[in-house]
Amino acid sequence: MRDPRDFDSFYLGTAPRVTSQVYAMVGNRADAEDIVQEAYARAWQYWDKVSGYDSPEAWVRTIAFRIAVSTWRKAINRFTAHRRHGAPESLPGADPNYVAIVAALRLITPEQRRAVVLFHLVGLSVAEIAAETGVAVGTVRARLTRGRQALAPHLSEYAAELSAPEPEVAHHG
Amino acid sequence: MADRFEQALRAGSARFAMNTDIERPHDVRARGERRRRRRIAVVASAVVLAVAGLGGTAYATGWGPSSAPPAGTTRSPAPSHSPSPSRSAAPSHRADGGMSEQPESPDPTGSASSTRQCSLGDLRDPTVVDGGVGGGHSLNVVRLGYTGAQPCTLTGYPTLTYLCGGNEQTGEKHCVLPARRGTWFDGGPKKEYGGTVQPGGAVYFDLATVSEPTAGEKQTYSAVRVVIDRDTQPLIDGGPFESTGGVSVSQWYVQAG
Repeated sequence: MRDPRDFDSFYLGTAPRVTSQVYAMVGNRADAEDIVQEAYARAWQYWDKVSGYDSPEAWVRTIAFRIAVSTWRKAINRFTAHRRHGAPESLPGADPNYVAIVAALRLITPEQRRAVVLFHLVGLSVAEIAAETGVAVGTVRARLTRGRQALAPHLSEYAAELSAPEPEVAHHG
Repeated sequence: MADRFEQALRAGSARFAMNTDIERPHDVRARGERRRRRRIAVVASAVVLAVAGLGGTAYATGWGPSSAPPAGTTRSPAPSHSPSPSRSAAPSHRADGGMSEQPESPDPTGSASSTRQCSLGDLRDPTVVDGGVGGGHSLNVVRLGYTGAQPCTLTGYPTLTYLCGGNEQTGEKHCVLPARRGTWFDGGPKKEYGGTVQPGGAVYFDLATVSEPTAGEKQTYSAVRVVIDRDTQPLIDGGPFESTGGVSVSQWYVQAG
């Protein structure tokens, strides 16, 4: 039996955070909000099962990231990728460093971007990312390393640390 | 230790989250219901087409629409993936006194079936009544009085808001507090979450903050309120709350400690 109050509490407590994580993936506030609403709608659709998972938020995030990738691919197919995913939108009041990071994230592959977001923003370990994305631990490490290296030329402020050899596993275990 | 890249990413994202206006839960659920109805309609159509495809043969052999549909025409409502299928459902308490972000499982006693669910509208006067500091964390036990006339059960997590902008002159802006769902191990007996509250009794939840200076920049959450409904959000007496690493809340429970 689906309990709307339980869902509402879950939604209100996690949606802003998940939206910010999806924004880092897609770089567009409107798209991020649409994707997250769709992901939570699906969560309610299956809430009797999703609510029993250890981390419903991880489930929603996984769905949202898949929708994001799907949306991105459809946009490519429609030759509208540049309009939707080209120049980064302005984000009033945001830290310029953060805007620059999100813009740079859009320049690396979706797989690398997802690994970087899950590791550095969500705070998952390499093993947890491997479980959530369904790939091997070594693949996650490779995506993290290559993703950071790919970001370095676009983020001169952090180029030195992004280029450091395998710094990414040092503080997450 | 997070590097500067990670710190900038997290700080920017946290600010983004605080300034995010989300749809009302009711609207999200309505969208989910529409998806659910569409899915049911599609499955029903598939069943009808399958039955029609089998034609008179099925009826001739006594297989009618009231029997089980043919294999392959029903679909499980479960999503085809789970992000962490190997994780244990049991809550995890860290020996160092920290918080676990693994959500607690629902009331395992099944006692909720014998009494009605509580209405949050029957809860009054949220007040910090207990707590402590240790291991780089701070715990605040928040109590709300129950004014209902009948025993009821309460499960799930409270939703909190805080003052995120504006002032009395321009109008205050309140945002949903992006609290993690957690459990707190304070060295005492394990808490039983959920449960039945009697008339005149009280319900509780834990609000945990981080006091470790290296966890991040200290944030002050003023005017923290408990969301009863869209228009009723009583102020927690005992705030504001400061934290260097965000806020976690526990599920409701009936007996403190």
